[in-house]
Amino acid sequence: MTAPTATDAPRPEVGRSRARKEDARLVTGRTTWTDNITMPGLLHLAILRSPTAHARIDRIDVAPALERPGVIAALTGRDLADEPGPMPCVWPVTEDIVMPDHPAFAVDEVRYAGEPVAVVVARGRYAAADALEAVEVDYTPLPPVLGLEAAPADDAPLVHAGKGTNRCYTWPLDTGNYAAQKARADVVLRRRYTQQRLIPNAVEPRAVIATPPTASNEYTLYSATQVPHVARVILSVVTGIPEQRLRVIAPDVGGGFGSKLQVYGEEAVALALARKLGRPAKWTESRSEGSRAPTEGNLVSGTMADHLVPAAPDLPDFVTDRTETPATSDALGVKGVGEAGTIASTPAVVNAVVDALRPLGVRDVAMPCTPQRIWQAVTDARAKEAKT
Amino acid sequence: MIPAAFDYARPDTLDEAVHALHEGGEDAKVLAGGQSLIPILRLRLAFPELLVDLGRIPELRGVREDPATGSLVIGAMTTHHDVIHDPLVRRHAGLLAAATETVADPAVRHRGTLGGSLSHAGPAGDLPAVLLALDGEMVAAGPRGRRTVPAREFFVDYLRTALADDEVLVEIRVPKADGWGFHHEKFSRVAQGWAIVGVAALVRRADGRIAEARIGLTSMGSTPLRASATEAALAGAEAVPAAVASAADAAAEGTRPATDLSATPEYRAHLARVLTRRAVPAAAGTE
Repeated sequence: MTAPTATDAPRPEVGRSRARKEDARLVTGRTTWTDNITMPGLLHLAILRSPTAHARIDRIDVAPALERPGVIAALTGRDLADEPGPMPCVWPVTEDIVMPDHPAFAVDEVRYAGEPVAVVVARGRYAAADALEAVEVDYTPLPPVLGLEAAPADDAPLVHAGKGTNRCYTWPLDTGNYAAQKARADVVLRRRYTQQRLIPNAVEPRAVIATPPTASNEYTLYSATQVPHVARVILSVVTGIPEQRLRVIAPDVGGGFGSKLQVYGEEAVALALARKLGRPAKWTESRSEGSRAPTEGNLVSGTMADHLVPAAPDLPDFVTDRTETPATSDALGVKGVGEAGTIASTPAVVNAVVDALRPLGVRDVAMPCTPQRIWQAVTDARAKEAKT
Repeated sequence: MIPAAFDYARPDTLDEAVHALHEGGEDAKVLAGGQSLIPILRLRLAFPELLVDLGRIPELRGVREDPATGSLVIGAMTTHHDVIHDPLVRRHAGLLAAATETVADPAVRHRGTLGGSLSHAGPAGDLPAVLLALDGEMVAAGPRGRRTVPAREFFVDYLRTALADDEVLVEIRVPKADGWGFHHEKFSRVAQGWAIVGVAALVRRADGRIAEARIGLTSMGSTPLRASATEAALAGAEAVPAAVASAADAAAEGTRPATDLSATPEYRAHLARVLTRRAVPAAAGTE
């Protein structure tokens, strides 16, 4: 009798850890982060940000920064109001969505702590950071809106006064039948849950380099972004650079946690400044900026009572389609199935195969289900049956 | 996250350091382990024009015994790591070793120094309250020579000590606490976080009673404090839970804890009572 070996055991695909292919390069430092990229004549941006959640900007004076060593330019939000243009909303969630203007940098009013108000361009990163100290801003504080529940109150201060409301949109999420479920529930729990503010804080902060136009008027933007394709469309709209003349490259990206799924004003401003100054322009977010400026996580629903906790029957229907482009990397010519909605279809097919072979004694077939493996499984099962 | 420009001096002797500080005036700062100063510079909360790095002055490191007084003498630039593992500290000032073990994380403890922590005088720092409980003394060197400041007079206000701008904290003198039981309690939100409240307790017992107790409080005011009312109530008290609990109820008396993101003054007062109630029996060995 021989001891069972690892290869004797069935090796189900689900629950098996996969060998990571990317680690060796990452842990030995052979990576290209945006901040590692440098270019001849590179200029560095440092951004001054609002220290307060809501205030009117009475005065910004960048002239003292221009006196500092190494400084090439210093611009306010007003200087940048027309070029680049305002940042559009890429997802109009409902038809009644209220969309306020969203300039790349604040112009007259700051509406969140960390909103950019001015930029200093210098020959070195340190020179830019030092000169930022010299920019003078006078603010008149305005009452802030603190929290999701405070925003729709009748007497709440308006974040965008011109819009007359703090309500952005109403989006009913209609899954399951709450009233019916509650009526036949044995236990109804009412609890108030508080979700803290969530700062994405990726290991690599946001970073961007924009190149000046080539002789044929083409631009390249390197950005630590999760959405280079969306960025190209949006930045083209914002800057007026035709899409076919704008190349967006996302080099290695060191995490995002959703904070790099947006196209940001800093990217648009870097591009506009590279065009205006005729030199490549780089901005790398500091860790302090990263905890204030990027999109953050907040629970958007004020109450959980509006929603049932989703259960398996609440999953929406989904349609499984197939691709006609055979992959060359595996025996079946199939590609990985990446979307959560269809991930169940692969095991479902394999389960059907196993179910069909069950009368023959087959209990498991390793994936992918090649004809060879099915034949082997049947042969093994018959041999086992013959022994007993 | 980039500090403003500053000049940097790294003297090899204490005299040179004092001289550099004196020349630099109020715009000069001492750099010890840098675990508080460097983040402050990076956040541009301070703009010193000169940093005087004490890292290359050998006489400021290490622990020895003063044969004249029997006290421990700890060089101001001794790292937290070295304090924790020093046999003299462990034998004669176990409270200091125990509290130092809770300072931040290993990386910080290998760079941060006892003298730096005391000179920074952050109200949430663990060690100022320990020195207060140990009745330690600070020895400062300046252009006018050396002077000794008792711990009780050393911590003046929030981030302020009795040190003049041109004085360097040279050594910390700690009387041997042989025969005293000790215990340090620290309450923080995460393991490496600042103390929301800390309690450093030393207890000496005699004839089944608490002969004397010394209790240092962290984060209960702009400076470290002693829980004087509790100490008075414990003197001569029976080492039994009821007596300790009743004395601990006075732990927050005379304190002025701050409000911050972590806690209200009321909550800090509550913590001071609870932690004292835990620390004193542990120090007295009556748990």
